[in-house]
Amino acid sequence: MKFKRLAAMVLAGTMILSAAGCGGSSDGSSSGDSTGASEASGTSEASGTGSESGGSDQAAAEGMVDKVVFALTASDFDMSPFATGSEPRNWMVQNVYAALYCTPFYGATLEEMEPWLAKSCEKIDDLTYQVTLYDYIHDSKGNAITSEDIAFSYDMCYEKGGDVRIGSYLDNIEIVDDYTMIFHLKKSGPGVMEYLMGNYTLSVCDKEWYESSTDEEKYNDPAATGAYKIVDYTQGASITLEAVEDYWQTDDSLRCSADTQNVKTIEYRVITETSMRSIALENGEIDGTVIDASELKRYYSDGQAIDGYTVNMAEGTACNVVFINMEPGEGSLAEDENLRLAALYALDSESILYGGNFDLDTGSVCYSLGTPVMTGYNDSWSEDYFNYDPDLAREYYQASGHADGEVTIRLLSRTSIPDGVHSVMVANLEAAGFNVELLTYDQALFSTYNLDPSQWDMMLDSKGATGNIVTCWDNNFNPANRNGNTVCFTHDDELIDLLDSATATGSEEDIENFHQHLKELACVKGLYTAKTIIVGQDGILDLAVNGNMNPRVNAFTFAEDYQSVAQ
Amino acid sequence: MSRYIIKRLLQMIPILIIVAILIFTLMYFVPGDPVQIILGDNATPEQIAETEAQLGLDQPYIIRLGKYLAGICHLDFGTSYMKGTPVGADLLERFPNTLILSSLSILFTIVIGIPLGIQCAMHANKLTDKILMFLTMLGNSMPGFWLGLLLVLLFSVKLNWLPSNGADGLEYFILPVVANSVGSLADITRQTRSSMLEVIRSDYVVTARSKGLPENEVIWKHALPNALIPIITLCGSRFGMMLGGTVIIESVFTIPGIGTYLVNGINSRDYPIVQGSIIYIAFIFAIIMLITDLIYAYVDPRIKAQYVGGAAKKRKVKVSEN
Repeated sequence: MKFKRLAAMVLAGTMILSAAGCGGSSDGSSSGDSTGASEASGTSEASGTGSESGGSDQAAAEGMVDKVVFALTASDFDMSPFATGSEPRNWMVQNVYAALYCTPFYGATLEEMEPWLAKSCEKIDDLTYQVTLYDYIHDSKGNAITSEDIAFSYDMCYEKGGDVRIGSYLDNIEIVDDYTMIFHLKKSGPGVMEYLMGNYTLSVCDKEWYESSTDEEKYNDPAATGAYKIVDYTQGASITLEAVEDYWQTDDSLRCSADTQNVKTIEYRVITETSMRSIALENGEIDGTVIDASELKRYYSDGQAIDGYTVNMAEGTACNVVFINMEPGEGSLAEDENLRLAALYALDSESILYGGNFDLDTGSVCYSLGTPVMTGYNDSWSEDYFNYDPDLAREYYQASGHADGEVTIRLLSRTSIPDGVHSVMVANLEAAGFNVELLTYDQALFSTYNLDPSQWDMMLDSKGATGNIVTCWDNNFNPANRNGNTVCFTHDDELIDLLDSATATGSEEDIENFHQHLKELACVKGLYTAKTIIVGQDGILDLAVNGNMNPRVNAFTFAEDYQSVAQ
Repeated sequence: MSRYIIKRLLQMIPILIIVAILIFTLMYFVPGDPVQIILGDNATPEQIAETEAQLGLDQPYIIRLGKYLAGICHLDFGTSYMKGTPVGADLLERFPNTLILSSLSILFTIVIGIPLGIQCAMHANKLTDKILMFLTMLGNSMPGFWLGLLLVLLFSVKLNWLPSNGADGLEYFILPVVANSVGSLADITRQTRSSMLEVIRSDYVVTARSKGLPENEVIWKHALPNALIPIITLCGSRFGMMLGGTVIIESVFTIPGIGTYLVNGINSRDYPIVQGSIIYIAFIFAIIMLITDLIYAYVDPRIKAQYVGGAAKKRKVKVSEN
């Protein structure tokens, strides 16, 4: 009897499973459609009510696309105000939170930046700026935004660890009245005000709302000062943003690139696997995504996008660089310039670029510490910057007096760097006579060990900055920014003085002086930079990027007859 | 029986405490600084100290452990360092996806695996058996993620029948369930075959056949119940492991489950996430093992008699003492 009951249960289970399976597969084409159908029903539901339907019609009339599905590359992110940065957050943060100014393109100067929350920013002296806000700003929950909220947001962003660099640039914000503030800086120079005004990590929000709301509200339904608000968030799966209907900036002529509302609803869907993102794109499950260079051939051939797709390859803003540990007593490289020169001349940047699955379409070789798109970068540096010369590398190695294999380089790197990059680097260095011990760690260990001079002789790391090369240098060679050390543990006062001059003036001469001195120390070599490859369905006319070269989905432009995958 | 269940549930408490202490200690000593990850390379010593104080990482091991254990007693698993969300709520949000994936996988495994194993045993060393054993070996050797990609290429890309990723409905789970089940399916089939082979040569099975009972009745009513114990053990442990999160399958099919949550926590040294997830896994595993033991009793009256018998003996002793 009992067995009969058990058998009946098993059979019932089988039937349920079969029904589920048939439900999916018997539709055949309809099952594929079932994905589409579920999206479509979502859309019809959204436009089911009169107002939303009207909104939809209005959107269509204004050339606004109803819904776009864009795939994110990572699952862990936090969109609450002042949270730690991550790749998905960096893509979306300016959808939800406004900054004082918008950076329309990478490396834009303050004059080129577009006013957003701030109506104006006037320089009083090198360390003092007066910023005036629009007097009608409110967030998506109707709270008015005033100077006090701006000052609060900057303080919180620094205190909560969302952006530690604010503290090195900004001394304090003096509130003059509800809409006027004075920014007192700790230091002046190129990139400083640009960074503070167009900050990508800042989340301007209402102080009162922040202090009275629960963690749950901050996480799932924050008060948005940007043009989009969060309407649905399924952790690890998707986040849906919807254009704020009563967005505070009602004057279209005063809108900037960041608060464009070309899409009514943006669904960011998490697909962490690079091949699965490609499959989802080909399958019509998403409108666009960012792909790895290894996937590009599926969408791009003979210098153009293949039929059915739009491709945008945005210049890389971070350079993969090797640093040599200069801490005295920590390995032979620090002590012997010949060995450093041997190592730097031995590295073939172009082969390393190819080793990382890139080519000259999807990446580029870089020189010095910085990328060619950074303001202040001098193209002539490429002519002579430890350019690959294996014979010269051998000569320097032999001049050091060491036998082949006698000098071991502990090469510190991350597991996220393609293996091909490591393989080429190791082969290059071994060809010059070094013995190489490759130490690849996950991000957590790498973050710890890269600050410890006893852990490595040579380090491969990715370094970027928001627009200006002196900012990149300052982040890495100013001991005040790195716990009292430079990235290479150099102890060179002249380098610091030259850096101070370069960061203060940004003049060509000062930049050149620092560059030359850094080169003479022979402790840094830029290897390559990788482009951000954005692919969209045909009909997306422009895959816009923000000032950090990340996709700006709200500003994508679409063909009039564009049919989103959600439709 | 209820005494047995209560006893087992009480036994889980020290197990969970030991697991909590072990994982806490392990994470305490593991290299990699979460504060460094949160703040990046450009943090000042003051900021590092401040963040450590905020997260409670500046306190000695024993105080942190004490606070952690006290939190667990109140079902507070802490707050994620990176995301600032309560770990308990995060686990609850992700649990349904893992539960659906695991339950459907184990159901699929049982429903297909046991009949296949019986068929193999009934046709031992014949062509059917050889083909099925070859297929199970293939299933055992095939990594789930690779099979998953093949299934996606066929059913999503070529045929466009099923979605390739996500967890927005039952149809989204079909490919992950198949990919997740194949390894277990092969194991269950082989286990069923071997258990059945032992049983079908037993005297009582021969007797049943000689009585003229139909073969189906002999197999399903007399042989299978006696062969089920090792199969249930295997199913239980497999199900427990699946509920602990099938990281690779969740990752390939972008299912926001416990496995990916744990791995992200490990990578970012988000101690509360790792500790909370491990305790959850330990708890789930203990529960599944308890359920497995109860199923033993349901299937095999001898085992039930042992569970009940233990209590009865104690009662007898008490009565005789009185």
